[in-house]
Amino acid sequence: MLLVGCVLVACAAEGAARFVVDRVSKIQRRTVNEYALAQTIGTDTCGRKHVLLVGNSLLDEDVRFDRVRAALADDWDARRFVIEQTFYYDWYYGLKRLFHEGARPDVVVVMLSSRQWIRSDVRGDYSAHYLIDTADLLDVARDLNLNATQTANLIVANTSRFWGARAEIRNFLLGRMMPDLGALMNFSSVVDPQTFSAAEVEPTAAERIARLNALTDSYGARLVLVMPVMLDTKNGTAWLGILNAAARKRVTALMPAPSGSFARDLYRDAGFHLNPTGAAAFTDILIPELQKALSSVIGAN
Amino acid sequence: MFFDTPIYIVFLTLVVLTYWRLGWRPQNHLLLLASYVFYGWWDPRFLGLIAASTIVDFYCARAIARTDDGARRKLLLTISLVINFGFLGAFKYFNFFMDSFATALEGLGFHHTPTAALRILLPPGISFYTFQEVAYIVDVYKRRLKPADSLVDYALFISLFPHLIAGPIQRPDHLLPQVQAPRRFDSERFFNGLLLILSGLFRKAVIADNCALLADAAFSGRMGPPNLPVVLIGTYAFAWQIYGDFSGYSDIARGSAQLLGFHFMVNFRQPYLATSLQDFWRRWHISLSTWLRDYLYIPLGGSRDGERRTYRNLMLTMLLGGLWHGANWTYVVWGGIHGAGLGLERAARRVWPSAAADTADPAPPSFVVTWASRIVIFHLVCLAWIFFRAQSLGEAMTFLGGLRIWAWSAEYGLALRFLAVFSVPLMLLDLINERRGDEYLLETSWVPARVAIGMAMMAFVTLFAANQLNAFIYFRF
Repeated sequence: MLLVGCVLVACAAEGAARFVVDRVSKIQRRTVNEYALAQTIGTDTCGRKHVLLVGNSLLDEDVRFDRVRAALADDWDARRFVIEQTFYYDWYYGLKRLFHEGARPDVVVVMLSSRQWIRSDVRGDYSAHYLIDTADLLDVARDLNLNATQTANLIVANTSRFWGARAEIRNFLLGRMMPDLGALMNFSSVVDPQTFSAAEVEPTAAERIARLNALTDSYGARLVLVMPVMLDTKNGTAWLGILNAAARKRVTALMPAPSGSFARDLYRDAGFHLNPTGAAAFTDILIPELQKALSSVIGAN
Repeated sequence: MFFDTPIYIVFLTLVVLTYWRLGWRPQNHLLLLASYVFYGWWDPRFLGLIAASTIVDFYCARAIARTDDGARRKLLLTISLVINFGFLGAFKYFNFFMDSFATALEGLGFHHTPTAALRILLPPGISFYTFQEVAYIVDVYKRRLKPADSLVDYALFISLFPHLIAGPIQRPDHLLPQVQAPRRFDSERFFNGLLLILSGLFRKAVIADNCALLADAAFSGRMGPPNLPVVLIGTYAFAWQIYGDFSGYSDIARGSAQLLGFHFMVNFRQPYLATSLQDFWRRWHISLSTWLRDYLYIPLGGSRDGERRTYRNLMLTMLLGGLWHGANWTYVVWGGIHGAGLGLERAARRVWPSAAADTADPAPPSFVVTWASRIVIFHLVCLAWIFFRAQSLGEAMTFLGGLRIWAWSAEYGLALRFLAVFSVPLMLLDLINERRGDEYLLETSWVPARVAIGMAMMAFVTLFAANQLNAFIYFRF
């Protein structure tokens, strides 16, 4: 009886994850919508070029995407796909899956911080379900040097919607129980105290940029990188390592505003994301640079 | 393979389904194979180590039992102990002693000591299976136990996967006979096993892993520099984390064993309801505390050779018990705090013997005295946990220094609420267990009520398990 009960609870959880979570969670709803749009980018004949911007919360909070889309609207069908807490490998395999599923953007814009470029990680179970193709799971395990248990977890998360989204489900429920829970986020975000120099970052970044560029290239898309404006100037010259690596691999990289160039009051409390005023300022600087870069990469095609 | 991962559920299901279709001997072969797969899942290189120590102890024990020559018996015992503790010392403490040595050399002005070049990986569970092997060889030496006739049986006793990595440390006279005799399927035992697994997952994934978020934030400095609220939140959170984590592990281990027809000893009995430190050690990690009592404290002389030696033995036992947990001075201090506390308690009992305790039917202490004692002991245990959790003595002292600083923010209140949400359920479970005295959750209750409790735990695990994969704390010991 207990075994049957446990199986029933597990089935109910999977069912709820498949049919309820995407509807009740605002973030999940946004992710699913953006994913659907990203999957079909480039498949219509709207007469415009297609640009897909991907990234994490830095893209979500630091860039006013509505303004970017409006500014590019004459020539470009711009779409965005954001998943929070993601890194290079999330997007390498995420883009691979999107291409595999039929997405055909002309340009892919990736916005990650220098640290996120070189960190060998993915967003665990969530990425395994929402970003990574089943066929790529073993490659991910190799890239991330995962042990057998972690690999098995990825496989389960890839198969089960519940396992993939369980962290979101928990956060959603806890958020309902304790509406002010978000304030604890400052405590739980791990700040890596290590700083990197350009020389340390460049070899890894060059290899990763080349790999991502080869992927986009194989589907006829051009790659553009955007570096966010970070408050923390202690992060050495890591950003320079990314720019150098991109230049070596002949990939366009934009740094609309150097790190440390925005005042503290343009950031949120934790000093990582820009606040709405900061995001508006950053977007104003980004748009012309992005327009120029898009014309240039397509012209070079 | 961690107990709280899907791969373990798949592994356990396959093993249980195959196991009950086989006869007794093939069952043992299957379990031995499964246990080695389970162990090798981390790193197959460690299999050689456990296999080697198993073979050495099996043949040493047989040779000890075959001879009446005292010197030869002692020699064989010594060989076995040297090999067992040699492996443990080399793999667990080598890095620690090298680092301490290097620090001492640096203090004398020698720099750039090449210790980093000699790092040794710690095989999982080595402290647990070594203690089990030592108990076996000592029991055979003392003629309290007949040695195993079959290498497979003995190897299975050492490596049976539910207890292999983090105990409970099984006594040879409890587990070995179970390995050596056919097990029969008992639906009641199976049901209790499932309930234990669910209880263990609840304790680990819901209680411990959520409390860990706060404990990690406080100890890592993400809550800001230590002050009174941060120290209290971090320490309480760690107290519930380690209890949920380890008692959860023990429950899953005992539950998994029960699905296979084995019975493991109870490892935790509501430790935070202890009214003295001595009481605490009768409730916390019982398989280790009884091992230390029987194979260390009593052989050292126990309380037989006068008060002074008793205090020395208590302190030595707890210091070594601390060092058993890990190769770090913080564990030694943790053991020292408990040793000193136990010694003080003993001294206090001598100075103020309880009048009630001398009567034939002592009256139970009042509600107020009981709870006052529980609160004091809980906080003493918490003080020791700070050293257990900190990475270094300096970090522990800095953290403790925060007790003198007062600061407050709304986030602390929120953190305390979060902690209450995840610690009060475990406290309530303990109060229920304490009152009923059951070995299994609601053991004597109506079966449908127990099913409902099991399903509720499953639902909690499903919905509130913390986000990240946290290894069980005791896996590293």
